[in-house]
Amino acid sequence: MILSANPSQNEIVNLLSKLKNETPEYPSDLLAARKAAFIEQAVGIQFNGPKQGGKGGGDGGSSSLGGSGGPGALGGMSTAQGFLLQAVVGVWIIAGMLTAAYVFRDQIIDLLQDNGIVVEMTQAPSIDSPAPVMVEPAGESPLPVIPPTGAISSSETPVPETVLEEEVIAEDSSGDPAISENPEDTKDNPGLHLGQTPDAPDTPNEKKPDNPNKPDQPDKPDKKK
Amino acid sequence: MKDESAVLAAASSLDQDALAAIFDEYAPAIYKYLLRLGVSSQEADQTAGDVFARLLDKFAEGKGPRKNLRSYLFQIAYHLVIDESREMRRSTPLEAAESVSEDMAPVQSLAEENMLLEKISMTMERELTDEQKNVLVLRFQEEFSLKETAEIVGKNVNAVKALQNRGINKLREAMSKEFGGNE
Repeated sequence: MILSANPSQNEIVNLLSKLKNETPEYPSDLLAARKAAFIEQAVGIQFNGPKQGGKGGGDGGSSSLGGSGGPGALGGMSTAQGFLLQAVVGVWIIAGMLTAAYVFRDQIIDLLQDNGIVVEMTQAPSIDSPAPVMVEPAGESPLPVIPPTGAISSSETPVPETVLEEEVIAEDSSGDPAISENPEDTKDNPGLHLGQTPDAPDTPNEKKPDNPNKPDQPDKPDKKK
Repeated sequence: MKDESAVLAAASSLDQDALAAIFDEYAPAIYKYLLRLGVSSQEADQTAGDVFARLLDKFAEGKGPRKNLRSYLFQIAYHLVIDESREMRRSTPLEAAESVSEDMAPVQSLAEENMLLEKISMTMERELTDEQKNVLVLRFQEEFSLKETAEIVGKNVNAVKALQNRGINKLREAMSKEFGGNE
């Protein structure tokens, strides 16, 4: 077949159609393996439910020839379910390890000590002093008596009587004559109270000494000049 | 395939015989279609597996096709190839892409006609866009109608016609440059 210098559309279409026969066949071994994987995937979906996500399912199916399920390996389990399952398994493993460590703690300590590892153990503090006991008094305190409403009883507490000041003065003066209310004025006692002591009279023409710690100051110019 | 609707109904309930029948009927065609699009044989095998895995997922979800299974499978294959092509453009350097393109030439023969076929196949790889190449393969090698092709590539019939005409004209120009001077 020789193509013309300026090929028509029909010539191109004919060429394209003939390309169809030139395409190689699907290799039988690959086809059989792919079919087996497809059927296996169908069986898996029947038991586990549909896979989540098209690409994950596709990858899981296509890569099953290589033995790895890829993202679709969890079958029909959703992401949330898978995460929950992983969390439960993780907690279960940790709980098992802690329980085993507690049960075999003596053996573990012995093993560590045999290997030269010093294990410091802190003992729980012992409480020697007993707890304080409340001792109740022998006699029971009487319950307060609440008077009935409306019956106002007078208090038995004696009310101090008002004593006139004149009577007290009279009693004091009669009891101790040395003490008088109004002491006599003397020259030594001008009747001043504490803090009212008169200042000493200024001595005329007497200069007060300068402060020796005061620094020397230059002479100030006389403003009145 | 005898009574496609009955087979589809059985396959939608994950009947193994029905699923096996579908695979036997369409897996070789899907594989060839992928090779015609320029996909390597290894990738074609893997993508064919992905196509049927996705079909299985749809059946398991209670969805999937109720008729025209062939178009449905080719549609899945088309989208997988487009996705893969975009991914390859992002990750493969230009030189590597060129060498892959050389390796993808599906036809190797010594006869003159086969040389022409090899030439047009390589020209398709180099000159046409992915959409043009897909439309030409679906129309003239897989023999889908315009309407079916439009469904597969997700465009309307007029857009498919335009892609088809542009693709053929590009091939004409390239082939006339290649062989026109020898005449």
